[in-house]
Amino acid sequence: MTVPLIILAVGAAFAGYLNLPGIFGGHQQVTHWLSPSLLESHAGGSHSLELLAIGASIAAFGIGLYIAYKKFYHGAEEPVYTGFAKFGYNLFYVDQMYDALIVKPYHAFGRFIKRTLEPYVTDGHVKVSTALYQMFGSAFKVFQVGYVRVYAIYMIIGLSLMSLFLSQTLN
Amino acid sequence: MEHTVTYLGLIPLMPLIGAVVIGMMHMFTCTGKPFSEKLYSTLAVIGPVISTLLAFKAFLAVKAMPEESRYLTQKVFTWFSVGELDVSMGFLADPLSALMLLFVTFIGTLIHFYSIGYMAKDENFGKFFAYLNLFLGSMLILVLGDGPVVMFVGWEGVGLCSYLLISFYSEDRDNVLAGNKAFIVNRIGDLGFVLGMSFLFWAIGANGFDYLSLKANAHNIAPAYGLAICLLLFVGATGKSAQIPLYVWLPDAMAGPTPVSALIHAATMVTAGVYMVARFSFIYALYPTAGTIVAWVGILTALLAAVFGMFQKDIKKVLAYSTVSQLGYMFAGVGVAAYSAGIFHVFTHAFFKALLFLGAGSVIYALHHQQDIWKMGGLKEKMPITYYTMLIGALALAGCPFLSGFFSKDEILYMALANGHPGIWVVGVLVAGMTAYYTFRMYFLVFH
Repeated sequence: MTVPLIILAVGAAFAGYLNLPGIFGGHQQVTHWLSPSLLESHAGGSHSLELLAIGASIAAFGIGLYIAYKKFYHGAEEPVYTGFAKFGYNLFYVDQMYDALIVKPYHAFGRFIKRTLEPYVTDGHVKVSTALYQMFGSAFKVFQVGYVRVYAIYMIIGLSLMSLFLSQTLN
Repeated sequence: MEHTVTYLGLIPLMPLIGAVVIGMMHMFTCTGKPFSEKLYSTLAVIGPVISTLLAFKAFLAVKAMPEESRYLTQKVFTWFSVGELDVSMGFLADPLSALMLLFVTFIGTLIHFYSIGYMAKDENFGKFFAYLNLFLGSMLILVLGDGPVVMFVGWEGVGLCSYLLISFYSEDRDNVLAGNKAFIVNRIGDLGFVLGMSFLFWAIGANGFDYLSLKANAHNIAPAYGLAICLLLFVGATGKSAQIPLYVWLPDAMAGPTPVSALIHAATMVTAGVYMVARFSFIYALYPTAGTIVAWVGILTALLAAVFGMFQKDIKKVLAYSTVSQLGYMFAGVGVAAYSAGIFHVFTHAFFKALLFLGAGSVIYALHHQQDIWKMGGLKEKMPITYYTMLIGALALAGCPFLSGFFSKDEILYMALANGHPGIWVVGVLVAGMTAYYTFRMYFLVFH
């Protein structure tokens, strides 16, 4: 597992030299290499501006490293954060804010739709049509009792009516 | 010079084949006796290794061309053709994608090798490598695609794989939630990308919807559309590359196995947004307003994440926020129209962040999955190789003079100053100091 670490460490140490700026005697090969693909703007920079940028970066690095060294090099106990540090430790409560402002209202909206729109609007006409079929079915259910004698009576009534109509039309 | 080649498509195809083969093997044996880890790991690294070699080949071929016409293309097939929209599954290797290819394949392959050790004895060893191969393949499609639509295939692919890998240990509900969060937040960003792409097509898509045609027609975009396209595409980038307001998924993405974090942070996934902005530099360069917004969002993200990084106690969270912060620098770079500086920082960051994550992985592995830096200390003697390699990584991240991170970060800050954005420079320098502080806070607590 350590071989990839060593290879990457070599890259991390020396990859910067592929784009060494002119001020350190380089030729910015990567910028040069990429230039056909990119539309770069090369606005006015100057030697002194570049020195300023480099100086500020090195100073920032030095100060940051020094403070970390002072506070943590010789071991330190886990502090109890208060004030701004606590705010930062809790990530400015951004997750909680998103939860309160977006996730919760979104869920509430979902529940609202589930309770109102779903049953009455989108499912409404489907439910009405099934209810109509049910009514239709229960109305006819009255005639379906399951006794053979009842169906025999239906037959007799039907045959009598048919005979009546036939005799009427034949006259 | 012949611009059409036949091997570009193989670069993403190799890991994708690996993903299918390993995935099938895992699927058919997951209830019975599994194949040996040796077989899985051999199959898992074949694809990435071949891709790396082909990437070198493509890079050298592009390099051999005359400077003004450096590109290789391959049209594999016509994907679909509807009305004026004609999209083919095509690949393009120009200097930008060739450089991205080199380090994505190289670092991706190293992480594959590292994972063989890290994931040993995991019951889902095969599944892990199937996903890892799929991840790399998707990223390579994203980088190599010859137009926004093919890029979008890779874009969605890496989104899917990050979801699968973040929630890899799915027995724990928190991991599943972290995977969901990554997926949903990315979907929000993707909406911006899709809308941006649609506007782009609406504006100038009729004359070909690949980068070369779009670049030639970019000056025909109506200004209002142009700005909208830039900003919508940037919304996509904030999702994928974890910028304000969509950065929230990346720190939670630590739920996945550590090599996955290394892959997400270094080679695949989060660099996609920066690459995309650089890829569309032919539009962004025309709209300095969009660039300024991108730069400010970037540098403020850098500041916010650096503040968070200073107080975290989970070693992986510190590194996660440092990634968000460094991505902010990259966007500041591309925002101030120093696209090559932004991409160069992507390049150097890939090395030192992969190094730091793999080092952190070794520490976590050695301490039986302890991640709290306050409970660590004195590992310097116990793990000398990790100690020294991570020292290089930490120095590079902190911007120590003459290591990789120094040159790339300094280039961005200098370009911000030179291109007339002193405010961005001031915040950038402040963040540089904070970076040195939180990096060595972590380093000293772990090793001393």
